[in-house]
Amino acid sequence: MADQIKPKEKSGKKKESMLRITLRRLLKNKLAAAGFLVFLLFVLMAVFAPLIAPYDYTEQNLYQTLAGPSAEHLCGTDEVGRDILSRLIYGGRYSLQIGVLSVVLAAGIGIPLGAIAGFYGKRMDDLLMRLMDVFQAIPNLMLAIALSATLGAGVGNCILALGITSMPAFARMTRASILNIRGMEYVEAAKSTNSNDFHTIVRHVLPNAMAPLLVQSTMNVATAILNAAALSFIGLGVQPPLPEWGAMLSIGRTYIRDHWHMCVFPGLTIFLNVMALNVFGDGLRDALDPRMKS
Amino acid sequence: MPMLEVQDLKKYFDTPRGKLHAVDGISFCLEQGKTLGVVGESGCGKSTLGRTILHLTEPTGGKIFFGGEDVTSVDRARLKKLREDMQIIFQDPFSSLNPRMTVSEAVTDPLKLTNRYAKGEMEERVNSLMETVGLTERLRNSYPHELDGGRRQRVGIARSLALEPKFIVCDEPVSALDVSIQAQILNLLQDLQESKKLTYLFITHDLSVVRYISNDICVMYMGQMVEMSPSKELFQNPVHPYTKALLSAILVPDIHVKRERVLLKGEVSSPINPKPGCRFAARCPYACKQCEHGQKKVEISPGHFVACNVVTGAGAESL
Amino acid sequence: MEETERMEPFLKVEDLTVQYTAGGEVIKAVNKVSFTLSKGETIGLVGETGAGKTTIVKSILRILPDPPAKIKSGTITFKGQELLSLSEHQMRKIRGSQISMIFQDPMTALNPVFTVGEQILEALRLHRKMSKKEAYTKVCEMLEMVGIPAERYGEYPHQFSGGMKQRVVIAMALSCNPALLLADEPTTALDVTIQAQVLHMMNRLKKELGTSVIMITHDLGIVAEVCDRVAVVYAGEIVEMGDKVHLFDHGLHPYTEGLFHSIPSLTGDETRLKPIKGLPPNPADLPKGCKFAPRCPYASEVCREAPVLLREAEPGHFVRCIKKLAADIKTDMTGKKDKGIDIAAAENRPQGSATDFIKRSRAAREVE
Repeated sequence: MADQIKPKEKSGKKKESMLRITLRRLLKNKLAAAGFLVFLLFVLMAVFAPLIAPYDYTEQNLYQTLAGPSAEHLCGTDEVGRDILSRLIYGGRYSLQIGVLSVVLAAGIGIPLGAIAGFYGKRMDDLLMRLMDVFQAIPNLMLAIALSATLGAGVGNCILALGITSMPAFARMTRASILNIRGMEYVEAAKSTNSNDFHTIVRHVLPNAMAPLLVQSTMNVATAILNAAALSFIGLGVQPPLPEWGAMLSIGRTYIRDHWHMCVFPGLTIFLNVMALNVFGDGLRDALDPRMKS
Repeated sequence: MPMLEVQDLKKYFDTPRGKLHAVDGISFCLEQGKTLGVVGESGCGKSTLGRTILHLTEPTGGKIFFGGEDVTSVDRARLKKLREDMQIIFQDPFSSLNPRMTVSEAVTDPLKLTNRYAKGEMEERVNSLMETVGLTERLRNSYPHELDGGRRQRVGIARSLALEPKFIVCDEPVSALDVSIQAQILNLLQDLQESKKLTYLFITHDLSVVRYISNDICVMYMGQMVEMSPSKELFQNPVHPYTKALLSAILVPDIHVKRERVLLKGEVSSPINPKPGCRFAARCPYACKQCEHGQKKVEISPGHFVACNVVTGAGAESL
Repeated sequence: MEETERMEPFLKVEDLTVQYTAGGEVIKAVNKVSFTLSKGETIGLVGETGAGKTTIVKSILRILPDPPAKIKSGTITFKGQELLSLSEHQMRKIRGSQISMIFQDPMTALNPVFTVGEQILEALRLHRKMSKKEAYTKVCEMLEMVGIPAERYGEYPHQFSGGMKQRVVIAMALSCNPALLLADEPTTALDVTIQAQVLHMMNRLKKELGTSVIMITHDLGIVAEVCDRVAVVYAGEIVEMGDKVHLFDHGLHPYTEGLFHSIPSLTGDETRLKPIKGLPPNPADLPKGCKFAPRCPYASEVCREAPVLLREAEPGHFVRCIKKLAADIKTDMTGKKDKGIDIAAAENRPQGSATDFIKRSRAAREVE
């Protein structure tokens, strides 16, 4: 009856899966696509490191320590004459792993906890959030150090330590956005149509709370890489001679006056990755939101 | 047997400042196929009343009989079944739809949760529901933000019809819509009532709408019923001072009707730890000593109930 | 200055066109709107969401966000001053002191961290040179005037109820005694009994202070209550404008008619409403001819072909509809387009002052 006039509509829209819509939108956003490509490049480089890297990451050339960039060593060499480029390429294996996996861990625990606390409120909320307070009361790095020290050094434990440290931030953010969404009428509508709590949270609440979390995740990858460096620096993170970007950067710091390349290349690598991830995260958030114009 | 009977329903909320008596002792009966309008100003508890009847919040006290069955004392499984018969349409067509679900997903969602339909049937069911509420099939995969308020409200109606309810709480379903769209939706609700023999509890603050759509009207003030009567009767012969003021405050789009206006003093306060006695007394132009002692509901003519001591002269009894 | 003030109406909006650009689309929010307002008069702008009412008044105050909004053409003359050509600095002196605005939602119009008294005081001291003490006395007066005891000067917005907050907002808007008040649905967020109080108060203040008011509303009941004249806005155009009594008694435009039919009456016995069919047009893709034609029960081919101009049907009563002005149909049938209409209009010379109309069609031709 009321649909006789249609003010400009994309008529006969075909059903498109959310994934495809997201992908299409993401590719339209040039910046986000570029970010994704850069990140992908680093991941591929890390995976195929043995094929790409010109030298082995442990190979020392004591005749050429601290050499600046040259045709032989594109990014120069470090204090024991190892090729920095090769180490950066191999380093992606550890740095990216630590960065991404620790965030996955943090989000994997933090988001459900925050969702439960926010959705049920009251006692559950108090209990979970006080627990988070305990974690947050200790400075992040301190906690990470304490955990690593207890668990022992190594990549796996480093991921675990960093993941647990950043988990409360995820829980808090999730809870905050869910408190907003919980009061929405569509959540009540779901309840009135007999939706159980799990279905309501997964279908109605979480998808609408994802936007800030995605951005947070991409930023956290960056923080995790840097924190991993700090751990390595005091000997608790990735153990030498394994190359790790953060560790390389902090070692380079001591040579910054005379041998800039020791700092600049690892720094640039981290910067590029973080930047790429942030841009990608922003784009992803927009692409996931059906309200944004496609 | 009435389709819905509510007896002395109470819903209190705990607030930092005390107990908020959102719904305080409401009773009524509603026959199948009829509409009861609930009117009152914001904060009078009318929305809470609707949600409490649907058991979206647990009542503090009182009984709700739906089809003769006491909803307040059934187990979870039975409540689930009963919920399918009782649905709600919300006021805000913007927040009542999940922004990340398309029209068909929103309508399918309740169907998925009941095992009444096989996968193949669902599609068909969604199509027929969309047709019922006047949405073209092209809109199936549109997201709520792509629709205007009227169409969103149609989606909301389709969703609440999905489980074939017998009783629907309409919580200000047209308040957020423009007048021309409002009339379309009101007509749709009426058509649905006729064709599906639906029973409505129609909550609104708009008195002209409530007169148009309801058989009976219940006027609420601070959680309590002040007057209930058949619609026409209420408008022709309002008895309670609050009803009178409320009716006189309506602005009529007619410049020749000059009506006597009862301007009330002050505003509604929230019913936190209310004192005994008539809650309207503070604003009532006729308030007197006996109003401090509470009021009694009196049937002054068939189906016309009033809770006011001054008008009904019932003050002495309730002392 | 004196001269012009006597000749020019108090406020004159002419051919105001405002467009928004969003995502590559041009949204025609306001299309050549013209109206005048005399001193102490209240005009109601009636229409549905998205009709462009708010954009019109925001253009007068020049508070539209630019981008995306852009005033494409038109003039707004206020007390002989062309507002659209003033510098931002000059405009700031007018805003709040000579023209002020009341927004729909009183909850967001007040700053929660200052007391209401301080907020009115600040508005006052921004435009009037007065000592703190004088200003304080004035603020107390203002509060009393809108029915709030002066003792509440030191209270914060959250201590006030919705109706009281709207009173504070009104007191703030009136504190500098503006000559023109723009009220954007001032009572929509309020309950009926409170709405009655606030409108009653506004009517009283208007009389006392001689303020001219532009009242935006979608509620014809409010128009009946407070306005002298009415302009019905549809898809960014004024489709009908006239004296309130005239328009309520002999509304001419089918849209006006539809609006009245959509409201359930409080006395009648209708069992079914007669809503306007369909939906308002997409402002990014307006129909070529009459904008209301797709929803109009009387529309024919003629309506859909070319834009319809606003005509004076009776003195002071303008309508944008060829069907309802049967006498004028022939001019549109000639197919001479603008010229034909203009000449015909000049010949017909609608009763009463038609200067406004002629100017408008001339401007229309120039633009095209």
